[in-house]
Amino acid sequence: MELRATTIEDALTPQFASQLRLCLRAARASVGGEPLGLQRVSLTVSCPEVALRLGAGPLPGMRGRWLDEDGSMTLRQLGDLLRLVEAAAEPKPFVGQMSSLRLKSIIESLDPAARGELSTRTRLARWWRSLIGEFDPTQRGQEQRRRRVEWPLGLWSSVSWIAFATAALLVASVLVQEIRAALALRISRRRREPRRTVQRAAPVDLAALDALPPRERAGAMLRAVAARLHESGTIVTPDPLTPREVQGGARLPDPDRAALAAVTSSAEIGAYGREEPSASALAQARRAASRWLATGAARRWPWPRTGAGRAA
Amino acid sequence: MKARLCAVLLALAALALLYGITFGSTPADRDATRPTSFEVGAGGYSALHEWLQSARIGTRSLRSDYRALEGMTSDFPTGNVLVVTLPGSATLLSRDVIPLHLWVRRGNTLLVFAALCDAPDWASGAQLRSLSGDIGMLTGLEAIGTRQGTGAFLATPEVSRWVPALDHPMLEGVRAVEAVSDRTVPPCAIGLPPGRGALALLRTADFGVGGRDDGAWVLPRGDGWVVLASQASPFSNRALGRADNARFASNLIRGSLAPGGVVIFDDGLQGAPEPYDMRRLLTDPRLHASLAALMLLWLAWIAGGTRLRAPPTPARR
Repeated sequence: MELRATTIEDALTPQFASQLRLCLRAARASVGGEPLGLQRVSLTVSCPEVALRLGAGPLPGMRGRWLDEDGSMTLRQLGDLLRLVEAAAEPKPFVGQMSSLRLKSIIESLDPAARGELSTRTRLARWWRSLIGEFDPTQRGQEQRRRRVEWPLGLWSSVSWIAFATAALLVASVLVQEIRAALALRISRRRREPRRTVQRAAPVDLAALDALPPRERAGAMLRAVAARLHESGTIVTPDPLTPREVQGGARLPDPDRAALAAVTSSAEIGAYGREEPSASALAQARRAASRWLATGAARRWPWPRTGAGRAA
Repeated sequence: MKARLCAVLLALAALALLYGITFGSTPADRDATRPTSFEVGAGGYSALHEWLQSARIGTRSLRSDYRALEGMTSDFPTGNVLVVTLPGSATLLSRDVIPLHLWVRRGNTLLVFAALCDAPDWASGAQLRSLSGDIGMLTGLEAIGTRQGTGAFLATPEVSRWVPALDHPMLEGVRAVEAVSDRTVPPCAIGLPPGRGALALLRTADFGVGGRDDGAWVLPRGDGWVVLASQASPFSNRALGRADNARFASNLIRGSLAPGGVVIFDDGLQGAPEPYDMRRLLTDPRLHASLAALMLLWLAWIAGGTRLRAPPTPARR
């Protein structure tokens, strides 16, 4: 028998459906009541027209080859084919009416996101999600193994190197800034701080000093000594309030401290004593003060232990 | 001044963050919405559900296993339609599919939308692993090129197009059907086991490109039908208004329904909770066993653990 291929439009016709119906009825009658439909029937023998239509190859649009090489098929296949052809060639009327206008209004009542319209926020979120990817713990097999190997060498490696370089740059910049700040502070302090000018104390007129009355002489002597000590950096203020302040604030070696004590003692007696300082006390103070008053500006403290600061 | 400005800006950012977290996302704006009949988001079927109701077509939501189909369609046992979308949040292995096959063979229609060749947002992760098996279990067709993992997320959704494979009443007025994917999908195809016949209704416009052979097929099963679409999104809220998707949905459902038949959405497979049934709870033997155990514990406590008299107070020194 010559078999020919047919198109699906050729097959899905009412005529073919009626041929199939007759064929199925005859096949069922020939094999008897087989409930599962697995019994094979030879169409080339029982239904040659149907076998001719089904042809040598699979029908376009239909999956699978219906007929075997020997031109047979099962009862179930024949029944399925009949139902497919009937449904296409002799459709039953549709149930109900579904209005497209109604659907349009339903879709319009939905949220724009549900309609598939992408807002700017959604677009941004989608873009971000596509960029960073998604965590999927179910990724298995080759893809995951490949990732395990390649990612450290690829992107993650670059990312970690960039992170490391950034951290190193950060640390370096912090160190540089700290050093710069420390240096700048030191320089600016130096610039801001006026160079300590040593004000030369006026030379003391010892003759005029000796001509003063005892009380005033003691005080004047102490003021002159204080001015010299301030000039040499031994005391902070050139105008101490009390004689004890001069003695207490002066940073002097012990011999000089004893001499200063004699001067401050006479000045104290002169300032606060009921009686004026005695001539011997004044003479002692005068001797003691001579180590400062007889010289110009002394060197700064600390004095050398050799006592070279007393007089130059 | 600078510090105050900074503080104000940070406070505003904190407020915006709080607002965003609390009120930012509406149900429709969520990332992934499941394909259920009541879901109003992009992946849901609420538009189709409402459309069917407006056409006076009865709808049901299946929340329990397939044994409930018998009771749901007891008034009209044939000419009903069940819409199943794969992958589900639960696998079909946990549900008994034999009652489903019996129900279909009796003269009902099973519409299976499988996210095999498209990738809506909700179809991801571990659910995809069972997709191939679920398709085979429901339709008898074999999924070729099943995804083993979730594809890369796309900044812009990808639209794929199906065209009619033949002239068929189900495709009257249908020139194209579109599906929307949120992720990349490898080429996929559906294979037919020997001895089964299937009629291709739709096929991809890129048929054969890279081995692609996706589309929609109709298979007879007993007195019923199984329709398999290898994409899950064509009837979802966001795709129903695209191309001729609505027309195809209308033809498919109206052509499969008998007068008095209902359309059932398998929402239970997508994780929709079963409605609360007090009678079922009261007849559950586990409840009675739990109550008995509690009463036994209470009895044991009463009999041996409680002190029936207050202990004597120690005398104060």
